[in-house]
Formats: sequence, structure tokens, C-alpha cells
Amino acid sequence: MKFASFYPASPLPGFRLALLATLAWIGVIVLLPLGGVALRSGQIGLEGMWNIISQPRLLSALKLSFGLSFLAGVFSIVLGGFVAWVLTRYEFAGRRFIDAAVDLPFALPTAVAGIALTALYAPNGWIGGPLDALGLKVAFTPLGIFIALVFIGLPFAVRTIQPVLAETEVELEEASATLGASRFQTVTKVILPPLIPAALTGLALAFARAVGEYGSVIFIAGNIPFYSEIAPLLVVTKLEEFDEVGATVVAVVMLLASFLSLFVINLVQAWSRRRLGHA
Amino acid sequence: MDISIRGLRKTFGNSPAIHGVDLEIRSGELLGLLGPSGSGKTTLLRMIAGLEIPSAGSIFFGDEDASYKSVQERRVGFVFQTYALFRHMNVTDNIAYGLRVRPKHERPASADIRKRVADLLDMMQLGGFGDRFPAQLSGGQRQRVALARALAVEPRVLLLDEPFGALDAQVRKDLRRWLRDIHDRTGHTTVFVTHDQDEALELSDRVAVLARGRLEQLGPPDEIYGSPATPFVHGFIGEASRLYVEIKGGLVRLGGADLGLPSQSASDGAAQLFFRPQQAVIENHDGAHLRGVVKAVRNIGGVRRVEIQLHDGGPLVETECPLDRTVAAGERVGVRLKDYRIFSAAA
Repeated sequence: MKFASFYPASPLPGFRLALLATLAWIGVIVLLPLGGVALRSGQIGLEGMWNIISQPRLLSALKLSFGLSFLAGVFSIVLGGFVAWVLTRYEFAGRRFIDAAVDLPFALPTAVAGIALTALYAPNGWIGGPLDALGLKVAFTPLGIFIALVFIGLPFAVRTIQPVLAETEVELEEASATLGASRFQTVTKVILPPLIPAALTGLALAFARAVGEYGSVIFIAGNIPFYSEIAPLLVVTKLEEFDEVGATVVAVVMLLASFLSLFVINLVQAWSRRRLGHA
Repeated sequence: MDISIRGLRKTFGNSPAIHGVDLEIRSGELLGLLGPSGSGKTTLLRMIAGLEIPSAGSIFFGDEDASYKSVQERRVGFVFQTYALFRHMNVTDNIAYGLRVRPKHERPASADIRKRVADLLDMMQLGGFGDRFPAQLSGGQRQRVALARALAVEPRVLLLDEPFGALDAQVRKDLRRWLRDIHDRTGHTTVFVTHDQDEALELSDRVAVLARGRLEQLGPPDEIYGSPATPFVHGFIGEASRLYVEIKGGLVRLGGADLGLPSQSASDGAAQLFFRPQQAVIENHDGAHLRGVVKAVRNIGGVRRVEIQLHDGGPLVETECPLDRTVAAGERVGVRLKDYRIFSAAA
């Protein structure tokens, strides 16, 4: 195969340079470290890896991490959808302020978020207190982890749905109404379906971020093995015990699981795009 | 379905868009709402549909006061300028939408819906396009899908907002004829908005001319063109030259000089005189009413138009001129008016 046939001729200049830069960046910044992790973990052989992976404590932590991340992602999308709706549909005092506040979890050091959430939701906190009186414990339970993950996932959901919602023409809603549809039918049949691809992107981003989240979770989680211990914490724990290989094995498992999850979400997204006629 | 609009007003904030319009739309007619942008024609159409709430006045569908009925209750078919097709639904689902959202006891059986969609696709010459998505259609095809979708619900009145606005000239012409044909076959009372006078005159049974939120004239196209009721309509419909004249004792004076024309019973005072290019001829002899210098000569498909400036810095008028008469720019000529219209300034 000649190199020229590797890409179709294009009148746009700069393809080689751009591709070279892209590959270099991805290689040095993304693939090299990840490849290093995989290599290091491979040193103990498949059997050694399996021994680490099959530990019930790790499996429990992985289940917790991925399960809660997915739930938090879905919840973020629903909540983020409402926030995006309010921000794009209505003019009100303080709209710009709220719009700016949505991004704060992006910027905040995660430990700050974790400490703040813990203080709020602890049994003696402003929110945790009343909830505790009702018999609902948040801090140091999986529910607390869930709240921290929604906190950091929400901006992804809002920022992916918002622009699509802003582009939805009012005429579509008017057309639906003139055809006799109720408000509820208009929302569910006309407004929401085109948002699905964006919502899935938001879900993928929020989910990916939640799986790797460490700082904001460990404070509120309580980190009780088999109950509220997340997988990233196990990596850190193993490192602190100088079990570098063990840490990389956990990391590789998380990498693979994350990649698979994102791949599935992307497939669903591609399918929904086709269904929406984007082709 | 007759539609009766009485004393309709609409104010957006402090700026009025419609200043009291009375309009009777006859059952089964094709009515063109014609006006320049900002004349309030789209606002009027949207009020008929229930997409805008009137500030005052009422709208009757037959004997039923629909003024404050919801959009859904009015059962109108509305075709938007941008078509507003649902992008995530294919053509079939778009057309079936209005039937499928009906409450269960009013909803046709799905076989009947399929049949109705197929019939509409046929009527719109869209057979075989049912599975396409709007993004895969041309502008003219989208327009026809939008119309099919509006017709599917058997609307009491069909409302079209600038139906051909976004299409190129040839497609516009075809669709115009075809819309007339659909209208004659289905017999829906139809109101369409346009800023294009050719479209309005060619397509409509009657034309309603709107300007600055008021109804200027309502009538068949020939009447609108042949005897405009107001200076605005005369200036807006067809081509016309306008002269600001003065009426004094039954004489028409321009810049103090008597033009030698009867004043058509206009009262004394300021007035506007209109004539169309074909109502004026170039004449060098004493019969001329106006004199000026030829500024430009243009050929437009078999006819020649001559632009004449009446005096330095004075008004420009246009006449037609037979091809066998030579005229050149810079030549001094006279113009005789075979016909014209005078409107008193007060009118």
C-alpha cells in the first residue's frame, strides 16, 4: 500500500502536519502513560493479575465505583436537563449568575468539594442533621458517594444539553401545538428526542469523570471496605503499601472497564444519531 | 369555514402591530395576505391560528367565537416559513404526528393513519419518500411535507406563512401552481402570507393588502391592481410613478404649472398622482402633460422602459415605449398620460 492511499486527497492543506501533531500528543500524553501502566502490571503474569483482581474487596469496590458512577451519570443528566431547560428557556434575575455557577465544580479543587459536602451532610451538618433525624444517613454511606459524584458530574450534563436545547426552534413547539398535541406530548415527542445524543455524550462524560473521581469522594465516603470503598481509593491504598504492581493491576482493570463502558455508550449514541436522521 | 375577524388589535410592548383589522374570510376561498415586512401580516396569521393572543377584538370560526380558544382547540393547519419539520422523525411520522397525538377515543386506527399518510404522500407527489428524514429532502420537498402534515389533521382552515419564501424562483413558480391545484381539489379555506405581489395576485381568489398594521384594501386581484383604493396600494402593487401635485379649482398643478389634466373630483389641496408605465406614452407634440429628460432606457423582455427626470433634481417617472421609436438618454421628451389616479392627501 502506498502511503498516499492512506488518506484520500483533500484540497485542505496541512493534513500530514495536523495528524502528526495529533498522534504525537495522544502518544506522549495519553497512550504512553497508560501503556506504561499496562506493562508494569503485566510483570506479574496473568495468574498474578488474576489473584489481585479476584479479591472480593477489589470486586466490591469496582462494583460500587462503576455502579454508582453510572447512576450518578444518569441522575446528572436528568437534573442537568432541568437546569439547561431553565437556563435556555427563561429570562429571570440571576440567570447569568446561575449559568456561571454551573461550572464551579469544574474549577473547584475536588478536595474542597469533598470537605464541604462532608461538612454539610455529616450527621451534625446543616443538611445531614435533619436527614439524620429522619433516619437517613448520607455521609459515610454509598448515598454520600452518589451525591459527590452528581456534584462533579452535573456541569458535564448541563453543558452538553444546553447548546442543543438552545437551538430547538420555537416553531417546532408551535407546529406540534397546531397539530393538536398537548404540552406534555410536545415535550416528550418533539423536544426531548433530539436531545438524546447530547444527553448520552453528557452521560459518558459525567460517568467517566465519576469513575476516576477521588478527591471529593474519599471525605464523604467513609471508605469502609465492602460498603463504601471506591476503586480509586484501593489504588492509592496499594501505593501507600508500596504495592506498586498491585496498584497498576487495579488501574488496568479500571481502564479496561471504563473503555468498555464508554465504547458501549458511544455505540448507543451512534445508533440514536442514525435514528434521528443525522446519518 | 367562514372566518370573521372583528376589530382585531395586537400590541407588542408599546408598539402596536395590528391596529384594528376587520376581515371576512369566505369559506373555501384562497386569500392572500400581502404587505411589506413589518405590516403585521404574519402577526395577523398567527392570531388566527391562536399562536398570538389578540390585545383586543375577536375572531370567529363560523358562528363560534375562537378568540380565546387554545391553538389545539382551533384545529388549524399551519405551515411555517421554516417548515418546522420534526427532524428526528421520517416523513411518514411527521405527517402522521397530528393523528397519533389524538386522545385514544378520537384517534384513527393505525391502518387508517397509514392509508391517510399514503394518500397525502401521493397527493404531494412524495410517493417513495416516506422513510426519508427531513435532512434528506430538498426545500420544495420539505415544503410539501409540511403541507401534508398540516392537511393530515383535516384542519378547519389552512394557514401558510410565506409558503415559498425560502425556495428558488423556478421551484416557487411550480409550487404556486401546484398549491392552487391542491386548494381547488381539497376546498380548504386557505390564508397565506406573502410579501411577493406577483405571488399574491396570481394565486389568490382575493387579496388583503396590509400596511403598518391596517387593512388597506380587500378584493380580487384584478380590482387590487386595476383600482387601488389607497396611495399605498397603488405604490405597492405593480409599478407606478408617483407625483406630489396640488389640486386647485379642478386643475392638477405640479410645481405651480397646470398639467392640463382633470382632477378626478379630488378636493383642493395637496394630492398624489399615480400612473403605471403602460398608462403613459412618450410624445413630443403639444399633447404632452409632462416634460423631462430621458435618464435611462431599459429593455425588459419585449418592452422598453424609459426613465424620465421631469427637471433637474426633480421626480423620476417611468413610461413604456414601443421598440420602433428611438429614444436616447439625454433627449428631451414629453409624456402624455392616457390614464392615472389622483388621491387627495387627506384620503
